[in-house]
This record gives sequence, C-alpha cells and structure tokens, in this order.
Amino acid sequence: MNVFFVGPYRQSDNWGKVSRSFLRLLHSQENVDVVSRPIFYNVNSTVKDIGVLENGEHKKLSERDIIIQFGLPITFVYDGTFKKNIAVTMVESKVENIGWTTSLNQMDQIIVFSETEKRLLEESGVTTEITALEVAPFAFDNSMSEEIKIESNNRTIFYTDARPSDSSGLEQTITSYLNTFTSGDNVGLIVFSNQNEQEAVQKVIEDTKQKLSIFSDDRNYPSISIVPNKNQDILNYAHNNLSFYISIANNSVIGNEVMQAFMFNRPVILLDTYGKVLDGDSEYPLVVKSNEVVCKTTSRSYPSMNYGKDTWNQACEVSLSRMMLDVYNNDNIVQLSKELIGIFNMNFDNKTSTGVGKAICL
Amino acid sequence: MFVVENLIRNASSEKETLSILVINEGFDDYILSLAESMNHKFYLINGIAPGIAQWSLQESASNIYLYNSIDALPEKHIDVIICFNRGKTFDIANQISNQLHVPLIVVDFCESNKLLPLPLTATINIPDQERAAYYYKNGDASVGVDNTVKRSWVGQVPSLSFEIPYPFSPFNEGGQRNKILIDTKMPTEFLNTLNLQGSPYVTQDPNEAFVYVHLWQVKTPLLYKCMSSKIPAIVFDREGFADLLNQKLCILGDNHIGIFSADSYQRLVQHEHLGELANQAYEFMSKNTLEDFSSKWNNIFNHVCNKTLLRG
Repeated sequence: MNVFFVGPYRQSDNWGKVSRSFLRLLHSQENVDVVSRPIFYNVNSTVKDIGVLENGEHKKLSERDIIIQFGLPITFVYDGTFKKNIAVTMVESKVENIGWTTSLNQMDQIIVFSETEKRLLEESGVTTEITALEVAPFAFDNSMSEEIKIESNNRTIFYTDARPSDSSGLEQTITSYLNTFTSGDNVGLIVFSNQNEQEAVQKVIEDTKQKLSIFSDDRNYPSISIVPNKNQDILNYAHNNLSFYISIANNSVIGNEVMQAFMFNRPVILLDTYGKVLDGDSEYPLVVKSNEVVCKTTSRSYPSMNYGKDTWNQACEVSLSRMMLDVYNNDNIVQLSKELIGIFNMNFDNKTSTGVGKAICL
Repeated sequence: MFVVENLIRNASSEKETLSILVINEGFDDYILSLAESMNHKFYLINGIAPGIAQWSLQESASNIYLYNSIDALPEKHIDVIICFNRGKTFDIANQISNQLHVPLIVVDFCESNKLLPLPLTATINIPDQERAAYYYKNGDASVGVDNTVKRSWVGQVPSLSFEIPYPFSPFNEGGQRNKILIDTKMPTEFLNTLNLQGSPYVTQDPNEAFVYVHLWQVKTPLLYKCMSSKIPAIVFDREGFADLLNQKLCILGDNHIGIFSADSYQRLVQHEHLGELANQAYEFMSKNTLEDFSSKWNNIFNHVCNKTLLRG
C-alpha cells in the first residue's frame, strides 16, 4: 500500500513531535510504502535531523492509494486522485466556529487520539467516520538535566508546566493547592515556566493568594516555586524525582508530557476528559472531576477558537483539592496508579502501532 | 490555493509544464524571454505588490497570464515562484513561498554592495545589521545575471546560486536613429533633476536611439537589450560596470547631466568608437543564446521543483 503523508513532522513543537511519531509508526507498518512532505505551520522551530524518516522525502508518488494529512484542518484538501483521504488532527474544543467542519467533512476518514476529541468533532457537526485511537503516538525523550537539583527532603512535591493562560489549569492548580495545605505541611508545588512567562506565573500566584485571603500572613501559605523550563531534560528531571505531575488543562487528554511522565513511572493527576485508557481491573484513581463552563479566554491558538458560545471542561477545584489531600495521605492509591501506569507502558508501543495500522486500511 | 496541493505536486513525477508565479518589479522583458524560451506557464497577479504594476509591456506571450487573484489560477498548484532582486517584492514573494510551500528563486541584477536598483546619485541608508540580512534573502535558489553579481552574494552566506547571463534579445529594427535613449522606468523625481523636458535630443523609444545613456547604478534589462541591438551604452560608475568596461562593451561617461546638452550630443554623434563598441557588445550578447538560457533555467527548475521544501 502506498501512503503519502503530509504533516508538520519537521517542527520541534508538540505538533512536530506527535506527527513525527505517527510517521515513524507508518514507516514501521508492513507492506506500507511511505512518501512524505513536511508542512510548516511555524518556520521558527524546525528539526534538521529526522533520521530515517527523511527517506520518505526522497521518494516520489507512484500509486495514489492513501493520502494522510496531519495537522490543522484549515489546510486540508480532498484529492480525488487518491483512493482514500485521511485527516489526522488534534483539537481542544469544538471547531464549527472556525470553519474546520467543512474541510473535515470532505475527508473519507478522520483520526484523532482520544474519545474526547472525537466527541468534540461530532458535536461540531463532523459527519465523516472518526477513528479515536487510544492515545497519540509518542517518542520517549529520556535526556536528563544535570543543571538542576531539587532537594525534596521527603516532602510531597506537586509540579506542573501549565502556562499562565485561561485554559491551562494553572489557576485551578494553585487555588486547590493553597486551599488544601499550609506552610506546616510537608509539601511543595513547583511551576516549571518559560523564561518570559515567569512574571505572569508569579502574578497568578499573588492574585490567587489575595483572592483566597485564607491567611493574612503570606508565610502561612505552603511554598510555591517557579523554576525556569528551558528544555525537555529539565521536565524529565522532575518526572524522575518529584512526586506528582498535574496535567489538568481544559479538555485535556493524554498528551506528550503526560506520556513522558508515565515513561518515568510518575503518577499524574489527570482531568476526567483524559479518555480512560489507563483503566485495567481498577480505574485509574488520580482523576479530577471537571465542570462544563463557557469558554472565556484572551489567548487563542487560532482566531475564533474557544469563543463564548462554546463550552469546555474545566477542573473542579474542590475535586482537585480532595485529590491532592488523598495522594498526600494515602500511599495505596499512589501505588495503584503506578501499577496501572506500568501496564499501560508495557502495552503502549503495540497498542499505538496496531491502532495506526488498523486505522489506515483502504 | 492550498498548501497540500503544492506538496502533492512536489511529490509527483510528471511535471512537464510548470506553473510559475512571478512577482514582477519592472522586469517584463526578462519574463518575456523566459516565456518565449519555454513551454511553462507564467502567472502574474495584479495588485500582488502594492504600487508595482505586474505587466506594462504592450506585447506579451501566449504563456504569460495576468490574473487578479492567486485563487483565480486555473491550476490548483504553483510549482515555483520567481522574483527580482532582494527588495520589497522579494519579501512579498518570500511570504507567499512560506505560506504556500512553494520554492522561491530570486533573480539578482544588483551586486551585494548596491543591494537595490537605484538611479545615479540616489542613496539608501541601511544599517549594517539590516544590510547583512540581505544575504539571507536568497530564496531556495538565486540566479545572478552575471558572474560578478552572483559571486557578490555567495561569499557571505552559502546558498544554491547560479549564473545565467541575460539572453540575446534585440529590439526590432527601427527607423531613423538620431536620439539619446533614456529608460522609461527612471523615477520622475530623478528625471526632473536633468531638465530634459522638451529636449530634442532625448527619447524613450529605442527605435529612435543611436546611443543609450544608462542612468542606473546597476545593470538592467534595457542595458542588455541595447547591447543586443547595437545601441552603444554609456554608464557612469566605473566600479559597478568594471566587467563591461574592461571588455569594452560600454563607455564610461563623466557627467550624467551635461551629456544631454547640445555640445555633448554633437560629440556623441561624431564619436568615432561608438560603432565599434556597439559591434563588440552585440557579439558579446549574441553568444547568450535563448537555447542556453532556457536550458539553464530548466535545470534549476528541475532541481528546486523536485526537492523537498524545507524551512527554518
């Protein structure tokens, strides 16, 4: 079978990582010949060396069996010279307001990486068959920073890399943490932040303390630190050494950074939109309830996305507070979560490879 | 016009007739030479470069098409974009190239020390840092109209660069030739400084010209066409035209204002070497055949249109 793949696999951002992993899985499928061309949504961060994936760029199209377009639906076209047109995308909200429904409905098949995204597209009026893989393809980066050293002193350290935006879950994380603990508890919260956003993160912390007004003396609040996050190896250090990674952005599913944490067998506190892929004989315990709220944000990754007529699922602070207290006090649920993560990790490669293989049949 | 269509096209083997988008900036003659020597389709879009007409010549070719919008192009793809020099139109072409994922070829008429085509005595004030950025405006390939131009750009920044001499392209045979030719494209403000209004010695019609006074700091299509037509050319920058002067293909003038006076006109009419110089220039240009021009261009097209487009 001949597959023509178009995607942002030469970008260094999350889109790049996931599409590169997807392409890698395509190359690994039996009897699939892959020709590929990169699309650049962002020319400022590109990957020069993509190893064997470059082989697909040196080939020309022969038979036109399948075209797979990975990326933003605004660039998708239906090309009738191919026997099958497949779209692969990642969404965080409904899309009919930004005009993506029409392009998606032209395709023969759509692949997404969670049931949440499938639901969002269906609610946006997408009628094309949607295949929801359990999780996005992923390539483990095990680089480890030697620049940073955090002394935990047996404290329970929560950490996040949520950005100071309306939908990242940062405000909910800080609120729940400050609401749950005091300076007398053996805990800490670390926010890993880009250099140019550290001030904004600090402002969220200060504003939240003011709004909560639990203590008149700030020193009674539990500690929160901001650590510069330059590269993946710094987050990897956190996954390897700290206690609980918090990933509760609005409508969040299992993304690249959650997978990185899992590969270090690090328990992650997830939002209930994550997709239930970790459940085995027991349910994954570290799941926070969400509330459906109206979309309100000043930062949009795409114009008109997440506008006020849409809703998204936002972490319930009360549920997160209870979760933080649970994991602080109860080692059993922590052990259970690690067990389920271990099983997930064992099956991951096979699951994603089989999933992609099944999804791209003619 | 969709990116994916261009990427599918790039990955396809069958590409006999290319769809070429040209961002023009007064290089109609050059585009005409390209179109006449090849079967590809050359598209120009009205209004794509604000304030710059995309086609001014009366004549055209059957494979040159002028549209009002990129979306009106009959093909769903563009194979390559061509622009000229590294000024505003390069920036426009570069933006389109990045947006639509189409390779860009820049044709350089200016050497790197000149940067942009300017009339004599004009200067531009560009800080060194910005000046250095011009070296990176080399598209996916750059074509210099001669070796001097090409080499001036490649020394600083490695890039895919070629030399394709301007092809032999004479004007049609004219009538009585007794006037001094100046370029119709000269900026009005500059021409006003020469006080040529009503001068009986000056023309903008090559068919009336016995000599061409080149008032630019860089080489232009008109200079080459005059050389191809046995119309001797007078230039005023020894350094900028050293290669042509050394081969006695044009004359160095010393006063670009005084040259239009009655006395100067008489001296030019009686100049004993103009004829010899015109013949030399004609011989020089006649070696640059249209077949060679076409072959070199097709080699470049073959290369850039079949390579995977990379950015960043």
